[in-house]
Amino acid sequence: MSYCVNCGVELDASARKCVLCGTAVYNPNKSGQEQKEALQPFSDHVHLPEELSPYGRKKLILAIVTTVMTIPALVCVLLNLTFFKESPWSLGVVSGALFAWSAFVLPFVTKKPRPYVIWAADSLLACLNALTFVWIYGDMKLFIQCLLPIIASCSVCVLGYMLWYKKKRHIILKIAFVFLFLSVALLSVGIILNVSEVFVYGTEIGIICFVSLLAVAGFFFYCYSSKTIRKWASKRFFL
Amino acid sequence: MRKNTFEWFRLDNAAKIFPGQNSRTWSNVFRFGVELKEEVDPEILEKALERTLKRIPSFNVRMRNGFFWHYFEKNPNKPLVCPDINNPCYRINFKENNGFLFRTYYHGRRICVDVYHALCDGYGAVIFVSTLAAEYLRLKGHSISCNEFVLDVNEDPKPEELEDSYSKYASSKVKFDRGDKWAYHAKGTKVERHRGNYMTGVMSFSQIHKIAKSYGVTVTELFTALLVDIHYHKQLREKKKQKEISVQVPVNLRKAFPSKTLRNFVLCLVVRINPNLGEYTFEEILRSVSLQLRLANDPKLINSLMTDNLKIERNPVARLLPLPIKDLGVAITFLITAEQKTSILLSNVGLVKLPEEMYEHVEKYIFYTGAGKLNGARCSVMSTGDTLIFGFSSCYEETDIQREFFTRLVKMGVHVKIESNRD
Repeated sequence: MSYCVNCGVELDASARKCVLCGTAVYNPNKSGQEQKEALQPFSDHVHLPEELSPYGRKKLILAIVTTVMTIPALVCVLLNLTFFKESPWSLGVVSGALFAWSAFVLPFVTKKPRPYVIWAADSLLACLNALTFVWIYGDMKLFIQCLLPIIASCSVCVLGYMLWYKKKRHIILKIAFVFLFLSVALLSVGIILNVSEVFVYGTEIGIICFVSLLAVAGFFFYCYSSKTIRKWASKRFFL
Repeated sequence: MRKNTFEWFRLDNAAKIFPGQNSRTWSNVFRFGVELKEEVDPEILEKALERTLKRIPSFNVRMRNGFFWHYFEKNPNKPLVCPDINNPCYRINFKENNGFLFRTYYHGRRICVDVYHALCDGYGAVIFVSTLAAEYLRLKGHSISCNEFVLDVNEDPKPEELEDSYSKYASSKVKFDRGDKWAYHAKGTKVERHRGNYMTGVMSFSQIHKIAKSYGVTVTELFTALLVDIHYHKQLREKKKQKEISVQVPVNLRKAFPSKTLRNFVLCLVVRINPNLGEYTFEEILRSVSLQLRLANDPKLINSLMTDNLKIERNPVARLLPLPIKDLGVAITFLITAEQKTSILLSNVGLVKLPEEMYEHVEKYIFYTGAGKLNGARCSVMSTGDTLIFGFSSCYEETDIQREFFTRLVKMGVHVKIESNRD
């Protein structure tokens, strides 16, 4: 029998230290070998189960989402072919569904998501989607002067964020940078809309969005720099 | 041929929550075991397990996904018996372990079973483990009789053992609102993934019972008050905004309703102490805990709580939602409520009365609730003969709560022997 001199509890015959306080066990009536040979209450073998893939459960949800997106597109194509034959408008719906699928479903389908491939696919499909609409309504100037620059500027902002995101950063800093890149993207969209004469007050609205989002980003930068807030946040949002 | 064979059956009201709570690293699993006085032979244990499963078919199942609900289906596979591991109660996956929702282990003189909570509650698991141990001893040549905890494996399973007692007995016209608030958590350094800090204190039941009697309370009330007192002082030392300390105490509903089910039929009562009301002494905490538990343990109140739990299950709109959406809802609710609203869990199975002949072969029982995701103390209590075991399961490395709890018992004059899975 071994007792902990500190806690006063009896310890298991195989115990080398008190599990409550860490005090080493010294039993003059028992040799170290005897202590080692005593059967431990628990096995030494730690069984680490196979890591489960996070994708297993999502398969069904992905199948449902894909079906939900495909059915309206197919219905539109059928309606376009049978009743409303004036223009190939259903192409716009199909390309829109394709773009939405690539943006919201594709990242979850692949087991190892490659962000740059997804970014390139999204940008390309957004261009294709815009081009389809422009082709249906026959206004190619709108695509070149307005839609293409908007897609390009948004893509550059996203790429910038992705390159910055590569290193491991604090969650608050990540949120701050989302707002920062979003403000730049919205400002560029506003300017493009104004320059291409689609929306006269584009720049003004763009500046308002830019300043407000910059203020939000500034608030998060402040939170990041304050140790007290970071400590509180890590405790409160601990998972 | 055995009667009452089944192909599939629905999950009971409590069990419906557990599959939604499952994550890649955590499931609601608890461990029951029995330490014999002789080495365990795995081959005989395997035979005993097969015979026990025929008598208790609610364990011989696998989980399947329906469109609206999960359901249990008869498992055609053979159950496995494995050498014990150091990390009990690790997560359950429905595709592993031949589809069984329990795992059987042996180690030296011990037989242990890790049970997924969707299968049964503590009472059902005690009967399963006791029947398994008794059958093992019979196969070893000992003569063991049967009683309420040891079932006769040659009998047919009874239909009432498989019933969903929640649906049968929940009949209150009043739905009780629990009004839970977010509670205090004694946090620390998290242990590694798939592991836990498990510790048992073995003590004399008569010594503990004597102390509880001297205070005029029950053993559960004494332990609950001790745990609340430890958490209360720990929170005071942390000098932060004081939150409520709440203890979840599962109650065996078979004592309030004439149910014989071996599946889940348990309901959690909550005991709370609010430190913002003023300073508490241990005696005041003990009195408050005792009164709260006795007040809450009223069959009519329990019935209203049960009816409240069944409210979502009976809602026609909720029933029509596809299973993945239901599971997602449960997962989100579990994340923002459940452990967030309880500081401690104390599950007391009570006194397990074995057949007289079995006592000479059984050293003690083992009972652990699985380590939680947030709670520093998930405790389990059960006793056989004069041996009482108090198990601590924690997801943190620190053992200050355990140390204070056991040393306080030592100071009260109780002899405590400690066993742990951590070096």
